[in-house]
Amino acid sequence: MASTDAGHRQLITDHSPLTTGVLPLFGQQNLSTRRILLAWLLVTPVVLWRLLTFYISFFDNSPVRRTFDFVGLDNYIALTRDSNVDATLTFTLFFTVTSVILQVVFGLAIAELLNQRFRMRNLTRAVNLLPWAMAPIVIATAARWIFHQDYGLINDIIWRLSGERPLWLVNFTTARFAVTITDVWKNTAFLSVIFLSGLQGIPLELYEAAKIDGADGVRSYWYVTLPLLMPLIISMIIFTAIFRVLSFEIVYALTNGGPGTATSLLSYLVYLEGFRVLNFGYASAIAMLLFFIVLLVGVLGYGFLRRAWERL
Amino acid sequence: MSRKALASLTRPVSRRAFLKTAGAGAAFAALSACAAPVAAPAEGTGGEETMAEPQELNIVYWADSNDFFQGVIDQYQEETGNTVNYEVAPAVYIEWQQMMTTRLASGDTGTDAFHSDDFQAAIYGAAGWLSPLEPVVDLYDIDLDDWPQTLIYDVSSWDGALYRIPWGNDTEIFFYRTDYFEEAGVSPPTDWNDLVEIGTALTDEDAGIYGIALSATIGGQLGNEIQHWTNQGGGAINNLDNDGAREALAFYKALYAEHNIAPDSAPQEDYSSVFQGWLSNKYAMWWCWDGFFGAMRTNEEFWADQVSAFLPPMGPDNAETITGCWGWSVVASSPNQELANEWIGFTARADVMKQQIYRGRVPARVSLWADPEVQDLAPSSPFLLDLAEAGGLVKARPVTPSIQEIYDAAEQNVHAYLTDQVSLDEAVTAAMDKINPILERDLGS
Repeated sequence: MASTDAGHRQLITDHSPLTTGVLPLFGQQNLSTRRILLAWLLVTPVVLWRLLTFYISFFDNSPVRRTFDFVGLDNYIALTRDSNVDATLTFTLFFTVTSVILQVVFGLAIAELLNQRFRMRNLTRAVNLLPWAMAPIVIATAARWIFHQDYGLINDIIWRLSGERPLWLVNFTTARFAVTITDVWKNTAFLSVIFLSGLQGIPLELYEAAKIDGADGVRSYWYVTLPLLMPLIISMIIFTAIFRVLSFEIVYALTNGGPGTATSLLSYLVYLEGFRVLNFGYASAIAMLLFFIVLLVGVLGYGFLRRAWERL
Repeated sequence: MSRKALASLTRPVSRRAFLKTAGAGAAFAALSACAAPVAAPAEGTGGEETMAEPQELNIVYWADSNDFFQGVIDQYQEETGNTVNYEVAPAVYIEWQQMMTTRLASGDTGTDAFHSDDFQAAIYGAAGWLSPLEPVVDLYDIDLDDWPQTLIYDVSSWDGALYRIPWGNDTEIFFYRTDYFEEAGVSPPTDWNDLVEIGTALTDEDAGIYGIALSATIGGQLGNEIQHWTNQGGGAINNLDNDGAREALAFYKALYAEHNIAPDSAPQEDYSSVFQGWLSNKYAMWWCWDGFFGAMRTNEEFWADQVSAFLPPMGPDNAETITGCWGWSVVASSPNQELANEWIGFTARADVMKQQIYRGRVPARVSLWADPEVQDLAPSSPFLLDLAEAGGLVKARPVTPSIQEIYDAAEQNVHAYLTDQVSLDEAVTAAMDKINPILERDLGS
C-alpha cells in the first residue's frame, strides 16, 4: 500500500504544473532557487503596483484636469486635514473590530452546532454556506430593501409587533449597525466552516481524558477545544480583519457611505476619490494609508499567531 | 529531478506550515487589493487611423427606456447605408459614468459617439476626451437658437467649446395628484409658505399619504435637491455659505422633520423608491425631473385623471427650477470622426429628435414643444412651454469639470445635517471648505 502511495505521489510530482510547466523556465538552478525565483515572479506585479501607487501619491494626478504635478507631501498633509478621512477611519476601525468579534463568536457557535450529530446535518452544513456563496453586491442590494423603512422585511416584522418603523439607514447608529450586521451575516458562514474543520481535527482522546479528569462540557471546551483552536482562530482573525479593512461592496450598495459619512470605509473613500472624481494622486495617498493599516494588522496578527503556536 | 527535490515537492505539509503560508498569501493578496488607479497618459486623438470610407458606427445610448431607439437607428441606416452598432449603457447612472470614464481615459477607439449628460460634457470635454462640435454645427447647418440657450452654453460647453448637442430636455417640474388636491379643496402653492400649508392639508400620516416627496439620498439625487432649493433661496450647490442657502436647507429639512409633510425617511429615499411610492399613492406632490412625468404614461388611466403639474412656487429669492439635458457627444479618440459627426447631424434634426416622445420624453428643440403630437405623448411639454414663455424660470446646474467633487462634498455634509449629525453651520462650513478650493481650481476665482 505504501509503495502504491509513493508511486502515486511520484506520478503527481512528475506531472505537476510546477515541475512540467513553470519551474523549467528558470533553467538549471537547484529547486529551492527556482522556487524563490518563482515566488518573486508572482509577487513582483504586486510590489511594482504598490511602488507605483506610492509614487503617484506624491503627485497631483488627474486625467480630467490633465495634471501630473509633483506636490511632495501635500496629499499626505491633506489626509490629516480631511474630515472625511477622520470619519472614515473611525468607522473602519469600528466596523473591523465589531464585525470580526461577532463573526468569530458566531462562527465558533455555529461550528460547534454543526459538529453535533443530528438529522440532515450535511444539508444544514450546505445551507449554512449560502450567504457566503452569494455575491456581496447582491447581499448589499437586497439589504438596502430589507432595511427600507416602508417596504423592508425587518420593519414589517417590527411594525407588526410594535407599530414602529425604525429608520435604519437614516440614523447614524442604526446605519452602522445595519452595515456591520449585513457583513456579519454574509461572512460568518465561512468562518464556521473553517472552525468546523478545526474541531474535527481535535482528537477525541483529549476529550475523554478531560472527562476522566472531571471536566464538564464547558470546561472541556475552555481547556481543550479553545486552546487547540487558538492558532486557527488567530489566523482567521487576521484574514477577517484584513478583509474587513478592505471591505467595499456592502457600503457601496447599501448606504453609499451615509448618512453623511457615517458608514464610509477607507476603501470606499479610495473608490470615491479614484474612480468618481478621478483624483488619482490623492486616492493613492489614501490607498497607501490603507496599505499600512493592512500591513500593521498583518504583522501584529502574525506575531500573535507565532506566540499561539509557541504555547502549543 | 533529484530525490531531494522530489522530497521537497511531495512532503506532507503540516497544519502549522499551511497556516503560515496561507496567512502570508492572504496578506499579500489583500495588500495588493488596496491599490489606487493610475491615470493613463493623455495622448492624441487617434484620428490618424481614420478609415477611408467608414461604414460602421459604434454608439452607446443611456436611457430609461430604449424601445423607440431602434426606430431611430433603422432610419439612420436606411438613409445612409451605414451600420450602427448600438450598445445599451448600464441603467445605474454611476455605473454608466464609470464605464465611459474608463473607456475615454484609456483612449477607447471602440466608441464613436455616446449619449452624454450635463456632467459628462464638462468633465470629459475639459479632459480633452470629446471632439468640439462647432464644425458639425456649421457642416450640418444646425440652428442652435432653437435650443434653450442655457443647455447649449452652460451645460454642453466648456471653455468656449461645444462638446454636446442636446437631444432630450430634462427640467424639474412640480407635479401633483389632482384628486388629492380636489379632495382637500386646495390649489397648487405659489410660494414656500403656501407649500407648507397645502402640504399639511394633504398629509394624512395614518393613511400613509404625504404632502410632498423628497429624495435626499447621497449619490447625486440629494445634490439636485440641494441645487434647486438653495437656488430658490439665492444660493447654489457651490455657494452654500449665505443666508438664502442656509434658509433653504433649513426649510428643506423642516419639511420632514418639523412640518411632517414628507416622510422622515426622506434622507434615504432615492428616485426609484419615491417613484414606487408615487405610484402607490403615497405622495401628493413631487418636484422632480419631467421624465418621471412621462414615465407615468405607462399607466394611462392613472395619468389621465390624477396627475398634473404646476410652475414651481416662489422661493425667498426666485421661482426658478433646474434644467438639464442628455445629448450626443463625439469621442475624440474615435477613428470614425466623420461618421460620428454625421450621426450628430442626423440626431439634431427635428424629425429625428421628435421620436423621443415615444418614450414620453420632451425633445430638446423648443420649436417642437408646441407640436400637438409632442404635447400628447410627452406630457410635460406644455409645462416646459409655460416655463419658457414665462421667461427666466429655468436655470442649469452650475457645472464645471469638478462638478462631481462639488456634488460629493455638498451631499456628504448636508446629509450629515439632514440626519442630525452636525448643525447647519457646521455642514455649510465643512462643505464650503472643500468646495471653495475646487472652484478656485476650476474657475480661477
